[in-house]
Amino acid sequence: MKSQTSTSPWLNRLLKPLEGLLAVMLMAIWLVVLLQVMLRYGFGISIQGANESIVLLFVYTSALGATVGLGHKEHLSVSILIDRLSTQNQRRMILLHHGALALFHLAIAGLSLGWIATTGQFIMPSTELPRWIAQISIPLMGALGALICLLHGILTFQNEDVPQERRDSETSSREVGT
Amino acid sequence: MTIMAITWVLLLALGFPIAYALGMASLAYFLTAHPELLPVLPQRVFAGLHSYALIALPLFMFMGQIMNSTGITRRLVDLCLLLVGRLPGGLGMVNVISSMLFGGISGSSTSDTASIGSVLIPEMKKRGYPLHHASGITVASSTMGMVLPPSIPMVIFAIAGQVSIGRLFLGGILPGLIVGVLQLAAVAWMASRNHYPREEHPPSWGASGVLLMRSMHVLLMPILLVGSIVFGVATATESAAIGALYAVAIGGLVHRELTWKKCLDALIQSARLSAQIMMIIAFSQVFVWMLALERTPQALAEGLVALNLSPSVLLLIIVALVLIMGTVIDVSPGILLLTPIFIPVVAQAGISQVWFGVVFVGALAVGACTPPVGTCLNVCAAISGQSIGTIFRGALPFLAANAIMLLLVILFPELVLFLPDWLMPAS
Repeated sequence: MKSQTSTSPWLNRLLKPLEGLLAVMLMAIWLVVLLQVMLRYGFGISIQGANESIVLLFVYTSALGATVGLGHKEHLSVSILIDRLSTQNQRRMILLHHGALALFHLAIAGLSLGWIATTGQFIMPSTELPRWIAQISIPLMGALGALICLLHGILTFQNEDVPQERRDSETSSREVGT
Repeated sequence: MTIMAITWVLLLALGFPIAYALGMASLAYFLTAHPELLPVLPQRVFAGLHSYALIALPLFMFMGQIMNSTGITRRLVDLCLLLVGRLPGGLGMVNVISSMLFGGISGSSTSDTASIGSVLIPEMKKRGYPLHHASGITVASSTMGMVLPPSIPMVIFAIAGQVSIGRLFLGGILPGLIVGVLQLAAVAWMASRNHYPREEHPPSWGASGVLLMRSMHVLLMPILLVGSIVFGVATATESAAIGALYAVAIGGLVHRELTWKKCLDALIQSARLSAQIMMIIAFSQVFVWMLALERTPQALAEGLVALNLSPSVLLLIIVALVLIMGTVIDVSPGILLLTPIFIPVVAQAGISQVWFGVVFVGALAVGACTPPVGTCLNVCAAISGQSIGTIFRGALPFLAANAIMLLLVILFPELVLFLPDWLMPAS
């Protein structure tokens, strides 16, 4: 699997630290799971709140990973019909994608704020942290996703993004999946 | 529901990412049918991501990435050359056996197609195999990775259907081996018809011994992974973490090909890939919630049960539906969207969920090789430079092996249930 680079240097500047964060969080999840196994079999003990903490990290890894995936335009999609369009129409369609996805992400962010306001103060059972610490990952994903879609939209509008985007999405359709 | 279905299909056709098309269609449903329930959308997305069991996904992917980047594929291919290279159609046989071993280790069919295909397709072309046959064998044999444990689609199904991962893994072993044997028979038949060459391996007994010793570490991997889950030593998540540690140890200490850069890249790639599947899982949770709200699975189950079909006929109908849907929907979304619909149906018909799971994933695996939407086909097209239609034609004789396996497993459920009932009886 090759790492795809985005067309815009300032978009890359946003994505690179996020990728570093993803690596750190996944490494932390891996090490804590291993530590749990070793402590269980080695000493018959477990770390209180460890499972809840790694689920918390996992929620953030998934939310931020999806945002990075948007940045690299690598989410799984079906591009059979779009591939048959002319370059001009493809560009229009991509603009529509970015616009609609930006609005959708904003909607997710907005809707989740109300939900967090009503349930965020409840305490998680093991770590005893308030639930909003985990829940905030959803509006964060929404806001970052909207920002990235907006940046892609601007690049497409300036005609810098289209050919690379088609290549990226085709490649990503091939690379993603199980 | 109709609005949601039409919106989703329309958005998919317009090329929107599958996960977000699901989310946007759900939003359309809430806005038009139940605006008062709009706050459910972020709640269900969060619930979809908030799962301990699903942490197994990025860890299995990390393990596969590490094994890919530390020369595991090359060693596996060398080992298979040693085992079957001298038979007629040797490279075709090597392709099938490599997929069997690799799929059983990495748990990912796309990874299998990419790794084995990039090594063997050019080599097979050089040795006179028609390119569409070489690509066809690669694509069709990679489906074994979804049936043989550890399998990422099986993990997703186990979570979506609340089924024991250990029993599913055990249930996939015999059907996976049947596919492998039937595909080897197909290669032998084609080799005799087209006079495919034999390979001149190994060079010496000593070199063969060294190769076998080097590969032993890798061959222990599936036993470690499946054994730890089946015998209750570890959960699927812990097993994936242990597998990743084992892969890092082999790559770093035995093969000495692991660097910090490779490890960091593997972590980033795994997080990115798993996040894409997690988004489909998260947004499909909204869809599943809506299905429950509309009582769609119950209505379907009652309708089908009223027909009074035998379990085998019911499974045949489900497989036919899944094969048709598999042409336009990929494996992970297929599992996530169809499992909640079919599980009540099979439960009411008294069909074992493990039996259904293996048949269901086996049918979706064929879908990964059928155009227009087939992940393995797309990966192979990128490697071989052929159209997906040509590759599909080349894969057809080998996919017949999958079809025969599905038929056998539907007619004889013991092929799936024997191992789980023996080693891990349901409590």
